[in-house]
Amino acid sequence: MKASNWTVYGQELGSRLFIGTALYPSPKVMVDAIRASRAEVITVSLRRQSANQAHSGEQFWQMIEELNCHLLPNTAGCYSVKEAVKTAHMARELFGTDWVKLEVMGDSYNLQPDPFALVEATRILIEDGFKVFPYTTDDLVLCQKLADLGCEVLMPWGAPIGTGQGLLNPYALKTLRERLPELTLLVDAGIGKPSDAVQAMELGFDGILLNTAIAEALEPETMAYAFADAINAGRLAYEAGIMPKRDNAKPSTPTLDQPIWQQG
Amino acid sequence: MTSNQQQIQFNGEPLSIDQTQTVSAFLESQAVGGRFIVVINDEVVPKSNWDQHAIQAGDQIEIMSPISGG
Repeated sequence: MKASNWTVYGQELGSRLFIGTALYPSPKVMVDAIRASRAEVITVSLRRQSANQAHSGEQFWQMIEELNCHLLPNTAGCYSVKEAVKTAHMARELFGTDWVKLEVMGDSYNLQPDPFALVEATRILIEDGFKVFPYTTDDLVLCQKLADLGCEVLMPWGAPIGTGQGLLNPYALKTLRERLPELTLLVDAGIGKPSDAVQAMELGFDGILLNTAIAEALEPETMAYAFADAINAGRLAYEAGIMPKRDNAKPSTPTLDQPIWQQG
Repeated sequence: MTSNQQQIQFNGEPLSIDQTQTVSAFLESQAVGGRFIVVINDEVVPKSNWDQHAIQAGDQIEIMSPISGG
């Protein structure tokens, strides 16, 4: 059984997994893993050609065209509003989409987003007609500010990028889900294993964006299948309604009409 | 550098090119191919302007291409 479809900035999607295109051991492994993941959105980036590489990027472009996925360009490596806005404009021209995964880093050690620059860059890019997917911390007030600016989608981290530590602060993520019920929320970054993704989906998150956990698995294609199933399972569980936890045991087998010698 | 040449920066490297070159002519002369955009002095030059946009001395021309990203 497949979980319900969902909509991202007006685009209906079946898969709730966004997958990155970086860090795979080879282009073929990347393509096989993305196909196995059944993802319909892939993240991409852009760089200046070096002087001796007049055709760099051509092979990569051909591969992602054949995948026929929606493209979500990022602003990776940007540490200021100016850099991020400039990169977003270049990405829109290069990839032909107004979607942008907005990254404005504030710390190079843990790649934590700069909340102040993120808000300012989001404001500018929304004014410029972009559909912004901010990579953000799980801070409720920051996320509210981003929503107030017009973001329909927010992508709080589970843990710092590439750490695979899972959901370091489930309370904060649960709070975001409860306080921002109208927003589309994806956990972006920090997911290490399929059970991390299940946990996020069971909290009511709409989707997961991940890269390293699949790309750096010993068998990326197999791990992509695992994540696809895990995300679907987590969403189905959320839609089905998870039972509340209880402090006391409650028998699952009916006690009525038990044989007389078992009744106290 | 002869008098009909001008100095620019191309992908971070100094380069001497003919004066009065459009972006289209410059790209052809440098054999730039594949999927790319042109950024001059931090501004994207839309493809629709490549035939009209004349390169000026001192311009910083960058060719941006797709790469993998997370």
